Amino acid sequence: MTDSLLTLLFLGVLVVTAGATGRALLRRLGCTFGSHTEEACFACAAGLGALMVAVLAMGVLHLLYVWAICLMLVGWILLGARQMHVFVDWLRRRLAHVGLDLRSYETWLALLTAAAVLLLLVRALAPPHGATDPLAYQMALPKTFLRKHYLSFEPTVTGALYPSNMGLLYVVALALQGGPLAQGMHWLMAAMSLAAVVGFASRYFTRAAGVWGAAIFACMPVVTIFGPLGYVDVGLCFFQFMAFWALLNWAMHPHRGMLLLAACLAGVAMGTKHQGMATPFVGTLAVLGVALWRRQSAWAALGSTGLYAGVALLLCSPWYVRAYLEAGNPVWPLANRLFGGAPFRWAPQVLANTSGDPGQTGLGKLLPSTEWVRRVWDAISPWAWTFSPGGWQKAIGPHFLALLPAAALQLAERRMRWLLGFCGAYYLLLVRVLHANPRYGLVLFAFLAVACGHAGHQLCAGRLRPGRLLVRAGFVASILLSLAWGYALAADAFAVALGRQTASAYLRDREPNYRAFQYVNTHLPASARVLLQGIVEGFYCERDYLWDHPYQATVDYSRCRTPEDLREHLRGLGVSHIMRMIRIPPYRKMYPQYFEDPLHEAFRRRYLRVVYRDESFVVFEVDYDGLAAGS
Amino acid sequence: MVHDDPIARRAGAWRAVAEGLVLAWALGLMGYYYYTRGFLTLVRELAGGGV
Repeated sequence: MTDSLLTLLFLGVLVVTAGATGRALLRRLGCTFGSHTEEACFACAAGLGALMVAVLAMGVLHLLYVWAICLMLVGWILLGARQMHVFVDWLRRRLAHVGLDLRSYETWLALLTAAAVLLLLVRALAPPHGATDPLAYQMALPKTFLRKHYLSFEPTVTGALYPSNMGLLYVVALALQGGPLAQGMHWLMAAMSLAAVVGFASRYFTRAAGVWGAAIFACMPVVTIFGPLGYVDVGLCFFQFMAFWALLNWAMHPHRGMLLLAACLAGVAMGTKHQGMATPFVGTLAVLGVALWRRQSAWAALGSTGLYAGVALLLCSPWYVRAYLEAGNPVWPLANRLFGGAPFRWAPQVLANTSGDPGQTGLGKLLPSTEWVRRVWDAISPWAWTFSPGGWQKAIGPHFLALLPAAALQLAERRMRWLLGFCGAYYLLLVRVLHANPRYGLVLFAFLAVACGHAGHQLCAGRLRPGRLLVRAGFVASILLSLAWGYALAADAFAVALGRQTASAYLRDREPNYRAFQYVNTHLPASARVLLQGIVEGFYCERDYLWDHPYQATVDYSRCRTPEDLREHLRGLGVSHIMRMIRIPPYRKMYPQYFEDPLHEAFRRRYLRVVYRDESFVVFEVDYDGLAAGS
Repeated sequence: MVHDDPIARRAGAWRAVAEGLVLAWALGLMGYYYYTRGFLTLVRELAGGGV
């Protein structure tokens, strides 16, 4: 319980400080907002963006020490100190005047949404476990950065040189407390995304539409599953949403400060994940379009566009420069053939799904042919994302498909035409260049949630009274069912979140490699370098480590013909110990079945000595002199 | 003085029909989703303390 309270305390302090610091920055930009909710959302985004930039600079300067991070946080807090009381006063007044009207349907929707968010928080408070990506790199890399005190290049770890602004927040979280706080930061992004949905809808539609939209977004299975874990996608969604919102504010009321804010947020989004590139790409076209539509001179239009694109690219450029300096490829390991960067055996394609239409070039690539649509329909269809998604990351839930026809009924409204038009364009971008993966394009669903929320709310104002009652009852029932699922997912985490179970006992039951890593952390010398065989989740390893993941090219068994070749290869890599998964699951076909592989078996008999084993993992010490007896 | 506008009345009637259709679609789709995805079983299990 103490750990959870500490996590909540840190989260509270970070969000209030982010708001205060962000408000100070927004005042310098001269930005004005339509409501306090809107201002608070932008202030938090700006404050967290500033924190990311500060940690990035510290990482480049080899200053990632706990004491240095604490000092930096003090400076960050002082930056917003003058605004702190304003922000706290505002929060206090908002909480004191919440004015729950229990006869209002939207009040109940808001309460149910808050319950869903709290259930996500319970899961965030449990120690990180289970999910592969956070334990393999999204949280594991920040932990390594903190151990090495700089943004080190780990060539065997997937995503080692990806832009990772969320990872910088995880560095702060890990320095202050640990995994639950890092997960709490991602949960915070989900909570702030919901606040942003309400704020955006309040400004451009109605507050009720925002409440509906927030309920829809909170009940998306992809948000329910990934929101409280140490991924980065909900964070990407938040910064993209805020960047597009700022851009819309600028388009409605051109002001240089708002354009700069939009550019900064676009840069932060792009620095969060490669898929965030969509933000400055769409934004730059939009700025140019708006400037021309406003009949600005060509120079003025180019000036606005250049300012927007330049600031956005400048803010994310350190990630790309770092990748270029470390691996000779700014987007390593993507497009490695083009840049000729450090070797990598297999890199994911960024511009996925475009290969099917030969002859298309430039922006024309965005336009799909009917043959392409027919071929990939199951991967890109909202129907499939609703009813038969390929994994949780594509599961969007029922509300979008259910309410889109109702949204189409509202097309008479100009704002709805713009919103649905934007969503349609972004959908095209998502399915053509962003792997057709809703997790990579959550911002689309955040905006679509506003459209569907507005449509749902309008249905409640329809002509037929029985219809109005049915919509309300049906929607609230759907939220309750999603809430039941959220509770089922969180049930497991209540004991550890409430302090009835220790984190260590919880992890021993749920994270298979935890006990072996505990041995590594407590028994191996600090100078040990561990080769992880068949294991990708190195988050709990507190020694230097390498993966033998099949995609990387550093550990390469194929160049070894004899056990001695392998010995020299591992000696060259400085490996002192090996931690091995005893039985590689059948679906991980790209790993050798080590204990059945002749080369690895011969090497084990001659050079490896068992120092730890449990039912799933074994830890060896490498004896380069070959004196160890076969184990 | 209130005028009876047949065009507006007809438009209103069509609008009501359209609203009825999208309403039926929304409720039907949400019901189908939660029924086929095992949510009712989940609720029964939760009610029985079985999760």
